[in-house]
Amino acid sequence: MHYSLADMISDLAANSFEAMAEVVILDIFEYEDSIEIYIADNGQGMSLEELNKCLDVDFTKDKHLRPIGLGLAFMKQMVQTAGGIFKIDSEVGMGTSIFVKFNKNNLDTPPKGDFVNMLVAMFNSAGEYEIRVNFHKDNQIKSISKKEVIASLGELNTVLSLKIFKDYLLKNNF
Amino acid sequence: MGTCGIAAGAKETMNAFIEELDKRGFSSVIVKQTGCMGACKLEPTVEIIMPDMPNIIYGKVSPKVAKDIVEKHILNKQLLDGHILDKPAIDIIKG
Repeated sequence: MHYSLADMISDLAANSFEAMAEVVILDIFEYEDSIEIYIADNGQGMSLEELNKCLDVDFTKDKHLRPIGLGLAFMKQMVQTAGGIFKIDSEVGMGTSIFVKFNKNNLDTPPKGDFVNMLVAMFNSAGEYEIRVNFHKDNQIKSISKKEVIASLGELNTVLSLKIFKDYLLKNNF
Repeated sequence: MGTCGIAAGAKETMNAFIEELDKRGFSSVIVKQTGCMGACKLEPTVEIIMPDMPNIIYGKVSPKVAKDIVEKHILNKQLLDGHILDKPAIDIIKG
């Protein structure tokens, strides 16, 4: 099994899409010694009871599809192993927000992984949603949104459009 | 992709499909990623829907198997044995 930060972020975004979020905002802050990830959505949200159970492997909101939910449990394990920080907040009808911080100098912090393919998969997910991803580094922000990409390329569902999008991401050092 | 798919390498599989289809000129093929369908131990899973072929779900699709699916299933319209998870009953598959 391989699980990088990009994989973890893909997983968190997938939760937002499954929660029927119409808007997802993802901010990735990279500093010299740390990396912080903040993701917020306006999906269904969770009750206090669900919030208290959401980090358990047994908990999933899609019981009709699968018996367990691994994503948040993996995130929790990764953060605890690497001495990081995570916070999760949610409210029914309002959405969910998650903050995760990793110390880059900790040997157990997972590798960053493949952000380009992460974005391709994220922007190609089924469902009607807008996602904006902001990369913050060296006091600069690199930002990309699904709406802007579709306005340029059309729907991101054909091999050609996905290839053009991927080439754009590689050319612009995402 | 669900957690199981991501952990099993589904991103690499999706990338392999895009690269191989592009290389062979299938630029208008639609590729769409979905979530977990409950067959976690068989991930990455891929469903192929195309004219003249039954809808097939393949399991344990590595990047290499993805390339085999493009060549055998999509290009040559032959089923790829050894990875089929779900297909219609034999009596309703024509030819």
